[in-house]
Amino acid sequence: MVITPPSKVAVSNPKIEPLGLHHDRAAFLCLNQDLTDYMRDGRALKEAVQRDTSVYVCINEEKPTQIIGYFTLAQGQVSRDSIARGMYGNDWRSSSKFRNKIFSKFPRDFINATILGKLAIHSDLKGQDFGEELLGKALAMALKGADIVASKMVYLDAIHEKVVPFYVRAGFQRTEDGSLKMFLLMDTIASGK
Amino acid sequence: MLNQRQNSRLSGVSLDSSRLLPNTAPRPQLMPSTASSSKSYCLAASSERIELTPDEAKTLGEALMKPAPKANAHLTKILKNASKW
Repeated sequence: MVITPPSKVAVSNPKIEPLGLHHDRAAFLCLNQDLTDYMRDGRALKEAVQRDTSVYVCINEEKPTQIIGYFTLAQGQVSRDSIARGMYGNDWRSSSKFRNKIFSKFPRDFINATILGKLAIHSDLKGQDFGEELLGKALAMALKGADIVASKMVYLDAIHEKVVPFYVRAGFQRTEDGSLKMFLLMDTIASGK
Repeated sequence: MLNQRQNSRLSGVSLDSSRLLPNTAPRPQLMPSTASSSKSYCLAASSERIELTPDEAKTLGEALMKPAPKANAHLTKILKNASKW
């Protein structure tokens, strides 16, 4: 009996679509266990069905059930107060100068952001720059979404220090030296289209 | 005995306390307010909260105050590629 190894996953005619029941979630494998489990153990589908986050999968048109990568997008908010405190201190409201600056720039109590919660590619695609392609797609979709529902930035919490340079190359900025929280202004993305 | 100011504010108002209902609606809360640099500010609300330390909030605030930088060559490239598929 000859056992043939499973064929390697490759990118041919990629397409992005929302995660659905017909996708083979159990076959997805990436180099990070958490990102693999998220897709396999039902959380991705549950969150997508409940509209807690939008889960987009990348497939090849020839094999429409095989997931070769995925990313999630959701809405989030930063409180204006936290920004103002960080910039001008806890008693920023007592200064008319600071109040004017903050209120003129941030008229609402919260600043909207698009959260790039997860981004993963199949382990067979490692080293092929497919992650960059998928990130480009995610940012393009975030920008499209921001034209419908206002959002000032794409925000993410990198899963590991090792992936930070991947995001820095695309223009993401750390919120602080050593922090894994990163952002990219939506206007910057718009200027690259 | 009500003083004149209180009386003028209440004049013409009939208050039936039996018709008042307690306000049980959940309200967003800012926490914690202690401003140690190691603390995070977070908003307890229904949407996804982004928690930032004061230093992180400062970096983000300053970036938002300034004009957004133009996309670098790499970002432009991956966005262009994304438009092809």
